[in-house]
Amino acid sequence: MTSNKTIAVAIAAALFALPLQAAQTLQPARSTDQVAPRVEGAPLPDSTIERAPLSFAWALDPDQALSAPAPFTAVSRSYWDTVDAATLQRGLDLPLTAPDAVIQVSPSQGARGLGAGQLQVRDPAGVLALDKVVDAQQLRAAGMTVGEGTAMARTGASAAVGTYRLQAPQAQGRYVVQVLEPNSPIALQLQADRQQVLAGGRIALTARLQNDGGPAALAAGRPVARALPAAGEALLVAPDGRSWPVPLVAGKDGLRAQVSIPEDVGQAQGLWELQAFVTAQGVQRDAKVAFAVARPTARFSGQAEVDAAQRQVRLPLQIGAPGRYEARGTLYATGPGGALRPVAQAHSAAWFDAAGAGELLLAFDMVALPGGYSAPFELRDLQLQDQGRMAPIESRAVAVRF
Amino acid sequence: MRSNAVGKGAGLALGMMLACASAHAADVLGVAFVHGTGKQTDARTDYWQPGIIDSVRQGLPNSANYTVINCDFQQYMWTPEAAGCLAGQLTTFINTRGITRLVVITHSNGGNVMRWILSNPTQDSRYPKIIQTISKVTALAPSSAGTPLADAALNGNVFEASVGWLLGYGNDAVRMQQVGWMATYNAQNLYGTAGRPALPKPFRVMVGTDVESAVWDSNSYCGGYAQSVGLELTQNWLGSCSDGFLDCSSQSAAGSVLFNDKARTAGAEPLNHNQSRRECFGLGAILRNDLTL
Repeated sequence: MTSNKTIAVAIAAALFALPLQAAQTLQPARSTDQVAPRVEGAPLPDSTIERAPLSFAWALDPDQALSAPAPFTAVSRSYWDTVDAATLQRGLDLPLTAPDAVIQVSPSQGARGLGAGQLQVRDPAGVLALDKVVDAQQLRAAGMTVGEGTAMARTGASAAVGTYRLQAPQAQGRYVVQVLEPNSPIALQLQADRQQVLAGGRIALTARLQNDGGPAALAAGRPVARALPAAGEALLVAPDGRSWPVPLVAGKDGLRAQVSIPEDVGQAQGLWELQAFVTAQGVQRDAKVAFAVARPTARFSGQAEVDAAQRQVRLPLQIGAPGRYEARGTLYATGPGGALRPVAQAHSAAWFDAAGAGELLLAFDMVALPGGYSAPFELRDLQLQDQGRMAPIESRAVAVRF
Repeated sequence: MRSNAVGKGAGLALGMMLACASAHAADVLGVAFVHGTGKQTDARTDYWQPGIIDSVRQGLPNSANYTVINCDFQQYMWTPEAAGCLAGQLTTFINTRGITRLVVITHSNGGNVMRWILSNPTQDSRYPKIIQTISKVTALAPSSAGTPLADAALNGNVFEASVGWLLGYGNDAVRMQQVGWMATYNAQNLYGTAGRPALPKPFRVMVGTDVESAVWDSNSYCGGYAQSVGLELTQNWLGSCSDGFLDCSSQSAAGSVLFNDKARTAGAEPLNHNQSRRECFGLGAILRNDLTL
């Protein structure tokens, strides 16, 4: 067989193997995917929501590899506490593990604001240890949106380590006191195992308090990472302010919690938080991570109709609540070396008046394929968003191959 | 076609858009200034100051083809008051001035609101035309990965039945710019960060790398000495490279770095977070010369 004939036969075989339009089942969900098992109704949000159907696509550089972002890890060398006026008048002990700490005092609603001259900080020897103090006006001028009467102080680079005393004789009411030790070797690392979850779902939290040598050691490439035997607790906080205590349990690799998300997630937009408060050997640290919680107001039906010639993917939906839904995904095409690489990003959104069946079309044909790229294709990072309620409902790392 | 991003929508025919986008010879260049966190009614005076606006717009073929955005960026970036307002004012500017190539200059959180529009083209029927008209976004010190100072402003702000939020509610834009929150939005809703798909249009960043606030140093006074003093202390919450409000790593988290301040400023001076929106150390000329590149 000549090479030309071989190519012709191969093309013919490929055409038979890839019908112009074919129904497929979406790829099985992976452990990191989020797939709604059902749909449910929900009230419409108050804000104005676009009603026009819209599609948009743009080309991606196939040489720029994509990867799913790892869950965020918060690293904290700080903590906060609420204190009453009597404590601040008497003096609040602050155990500091490194020089040059920053102390921020914020009055709660109704408490007396504190000016820069009304804070006293004494080192373990009882000597005044204030390198610089700024007030709320100066912090706001710097872009920090603090409440009226907030003050921030720095102890200074030459200050000793040990128990300091913060005093404000004019205090009246309750205050939040934050302590940041930017040079401390003691750091809390906090991580949730995912950044999105469905209402009623679960999320795993890990908190590790460790001596990492501090920023100076890290910058010099001498991290030590010695785990400290810590205890603590966490708090699940909804965007509307509701909160639930979460016990942290000591494990082989730090403190852990399996957190159940309530079914009633409320109407407030914004993210949920898991805040952890950990202590070891008299040192406190806290940190927080944020994640999105979605009600399953719609879902992909599990089928897709693909058209390799047009580079289009039609995605049937099950709608549980009227609203505006958006599908978005990345098209991977086969490159000259036979490897799949990202070539285009497409979004499609429409308004759905009622519960029932719906459909969105991802049209990658709106942008040209880069030279040398063709089928077979893969649709990756397929997501379904409830645009009106700002909720990521479904995500699939790999959706269809065609 | 200058753009490789294409949209379709009700009353917006693909063919017509392709035809519009290919009109090179008749390009009308415009520039829009997008402020950061806050509710602005006169951002030209109160946020930017006229010096930098007037310096930059002299680089336009028609220096009247500029607009200064005034929106409520105390809200979440996706809200009608934030991205919706920005889309409305950009659309009006594009339509009334016949702009075909738009350079958007953002500062701080303005970069996030702009990136919201670029990353969510199907949320609003005005977005596709805006995206297709934009030739590039120049983001001055954008808070793309948030700032620990937003966390510090909100830490301890628990909700109690008797008093509500202990420290008052603050605003949603600050809430949104907490480091963990931006990590989630970057992973789910926004493009242009590491490992994520690129934005449909270039998003190029100027990074502010340091704060100088010595009372004897006249450079500390550009943009306001009082602001510089506060930034010197807030810098303690940040890493070794910061503009006093944002870590360099946050500023450069999305898009590509156009330049670090000292690489192009007069006297290799750093631009703190307030100076990067003011006519300090030749910034206006740098931006003016970049308009037509």
